[in-house]
Amino acid sequence: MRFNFKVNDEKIEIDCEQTARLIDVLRNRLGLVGVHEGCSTGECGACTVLVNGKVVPSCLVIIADVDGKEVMTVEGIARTEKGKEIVKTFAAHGAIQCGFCTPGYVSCAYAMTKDDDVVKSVEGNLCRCTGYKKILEAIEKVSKWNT
Amino acid sequence: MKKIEYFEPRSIEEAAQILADTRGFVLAGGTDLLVRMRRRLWDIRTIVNIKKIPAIAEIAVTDGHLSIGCLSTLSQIQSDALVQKHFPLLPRVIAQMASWQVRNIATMAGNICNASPAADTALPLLCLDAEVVVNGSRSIPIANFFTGPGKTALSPGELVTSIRIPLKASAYKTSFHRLGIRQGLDIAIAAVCVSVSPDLKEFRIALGSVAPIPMRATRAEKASSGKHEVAATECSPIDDFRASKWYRTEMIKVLTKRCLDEIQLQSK
Repeated sequence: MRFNFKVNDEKIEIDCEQTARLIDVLRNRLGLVGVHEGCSTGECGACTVLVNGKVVPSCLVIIADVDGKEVMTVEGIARTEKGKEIVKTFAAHGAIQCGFCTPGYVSCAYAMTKDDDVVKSVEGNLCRCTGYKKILEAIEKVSKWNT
Repeated sequence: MKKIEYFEPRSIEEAAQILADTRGFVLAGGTDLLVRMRRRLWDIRTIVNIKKIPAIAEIAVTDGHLSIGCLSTLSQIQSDALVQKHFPLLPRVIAQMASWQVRNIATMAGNICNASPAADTALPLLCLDAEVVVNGSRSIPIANFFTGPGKTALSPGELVTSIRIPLKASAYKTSFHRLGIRQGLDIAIAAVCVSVSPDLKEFRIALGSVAPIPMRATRAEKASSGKHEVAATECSPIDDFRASKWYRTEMIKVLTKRCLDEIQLQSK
């Protein structure tokens, strides 16, 4: 079945099963391998992307539910002014080690407003490397000038 | 992977018919269904995606009740002005569930239909005398909704279309305490929700994760003293990898007492 939606501001038309997972379409059909599959069950946050501005676990979203919507992945976020600041701040704070969890965290940081609590916003994101402190500090810093 | 039959009904009636004919699984948020599919825990051949049905996501006051449409996500319920005004207990509970990403797509109706004994939203709904509306008409009191682990009073062909809470319950004083291994995303080891009528006479004490279903501790509710101890005798927790039967029983005492003490303080 044919689906039309936007990914990172680009119009996309895809032919696939209605129940294809968004993460599979993004990674395998569109080459957006910045979206990482950690647990496949919505519990690790590594696959987090934005759909119509909201963070969602792309491993639990089917493509039929994205039809007509706007998706943003870390690749698109990193091209925006806000996204560039987020990535720069993460790097400066030592918030990136292996990088596997990073796109998920960057997506959340991008979607946050300054009224969102940092810890609550990323409680669904796991990191096996950093011990979390530097990631939280980086996001705290970024959220100080978020609107 | 075997082919999945997929339907996108455009009305409640159409959905009910498909569900009755196929015994398919309802897809709303998908945060339980897609996990089961991935883990091959259930034999899922048919999916009925209800998100194209209009008018079942609304939150509105009608007929002396707050009605929460079945497609309302946990995030939407959490931030809704009517919910925050009448039943701030719900946002308080939801804030402790899952994660931001999951709350953005998961639904409260899905949480109760999945009917885990640990279903978090079941507890405030039990304490607020909620009703589950099925196929837009039939009404099941929440106390009768859960019939076993993962089992509800729904028959094939029945779809929960909304959850209604009587506005008079907004006068109840409420408290909720949940114990888990980590803050977000885990399944509660034990949870307690308590509501009390404004005259402090009528109690509702709901216990989670300590029985085959989210339950009300009705003897504890009527006990004149030591409610927390009575509640612990009414539940039947199991040993599992999260916690032991003994520990859960002890924690029910602690959490119930915490809830009751908090409500006492609220009343001063």
